[in-house]
Parts: sequence; structure tokens; C-alpha cells
Amino acid sequence: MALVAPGVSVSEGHGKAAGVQAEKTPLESKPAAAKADASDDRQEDVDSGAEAEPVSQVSMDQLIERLKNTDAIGFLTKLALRSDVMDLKDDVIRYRKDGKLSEYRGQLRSRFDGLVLKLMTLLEKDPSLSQDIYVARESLWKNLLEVQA
Amino acid sequence: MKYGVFFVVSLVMPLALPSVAQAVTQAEDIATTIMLRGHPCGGNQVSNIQETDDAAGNKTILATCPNGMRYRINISAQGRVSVQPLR
Repeated sequence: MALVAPGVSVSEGHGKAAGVQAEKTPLESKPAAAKADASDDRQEDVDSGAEAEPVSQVSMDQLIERLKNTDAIGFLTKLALRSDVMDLKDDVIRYRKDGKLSEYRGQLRSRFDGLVLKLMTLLEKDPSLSQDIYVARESLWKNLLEVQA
Repeated sequence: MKYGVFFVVSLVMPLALPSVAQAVTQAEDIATTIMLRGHPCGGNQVSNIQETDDAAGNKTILATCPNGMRYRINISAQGRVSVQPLR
């Protein structure tokens, strides 16, 4: 079952991924006036994601499959990236449990952005996948914040 | 189940993969993993690779980077990867 980000529909390959709009990049720090409440944070992400997402559309299932199959990254490197994602996920769960998710949200976002950058760099030999992951980054971030234990 | 974060987590695959022609060689893969962990390697390929497996399914890889640094890469049975410099 493909999970499609809000406002996103499935398309094949990367053909439509070229139309990335100029936008507020998630790599930039969010304004200090970001609300502290976790649900408001998610709503803020939805809002920023909705206005940031370009026309190109990517399915999560397709991304997963393409990432598994890409030859641009070796198996060990994929495992290492997975370890990093698992650590990030565990921290999200822990901070939410402790009621500190809002406090550490910026730090988590920095780590997430770092992972995305690493992934994009590693996918130098698979530029279409790299671009599609970049396009889907806000959806990935939203889902990370919503991950449950 | 949230798919977003698991787009990479879903890379959980059996450690014993069938042999498949890869665009990335093992030497390059190990070097990339070392650098991914923030350690200097001095090049894109390692040498003097030694692999060992234990009964618990954990794998240990020793490799030497072009800068002379030797590293231990531990891969747990659960797929967790860690890198330690040996010298």
C-alpha cells in the first residue's frame, strides 16, 4: 500500500521531478516564533509543507523500493544510514514520551536535514532518486514526527 | 505503521544477501561507511579487508584507509552499524 503525502499523488519515475520551486528550504532554521505545542508543530509542518511541495509527486513505497535497489549506495552504507534513521526515530519517541519533543524539535530537524543531505550526496550516481527524496523531505519529516513507539 | 521514517528503515534486509553485481565495490562501500560516521579515510577505497562473523550473527570488518588509519566496522545482527578507529 503506497503512502502518499498530502497533496501528492503517485507518478512513475522522476519525470516530473524537475519542477522544484524556489521555496523556504527546510535546511534553514524555522522562525523562532514556532509554536511549542507538538500538535501545532505538526500543523506548522503541514502548512509549510503544503506551500513548499512542488508539483512533482513521489510515492513513499516507490522511494523505498528505489532506495533498496539503487546501485549508487553500497549495502553497508545503506545499513549505516538505516542505523542513523533508527537512532533519530528512537530519539523522537523518547522526547515525545518525556514531553520534550518541542524543546528538541530544532535539534531533531537539524539531524534529519543532515541525513537527507548525506543521502543526496551518496546518491550522486542516481540523481533522479536524490531529487525525489529531496522533494519528499517534508513528508518524511512529518511522518518522523508522528512515529509511534 | 508510518512509512516516512521507515523508507530507509525498510532497508532492513537479511544480512546474507545473494551475490548481486553492484556499482559500488566493497572497498568503496566500506570507505563510504567510515566517512559517513565522520572518520577521516583519505580516499574512496579501503584495503586489507578482513571479515569475521560470530555465532550471534554479528559481523566485524577490519579495513585500512588510504591515510593509514585502520577501522573496525561492527554490524550487529539487528543491522546496526558502528565504526571505531583502531589506530
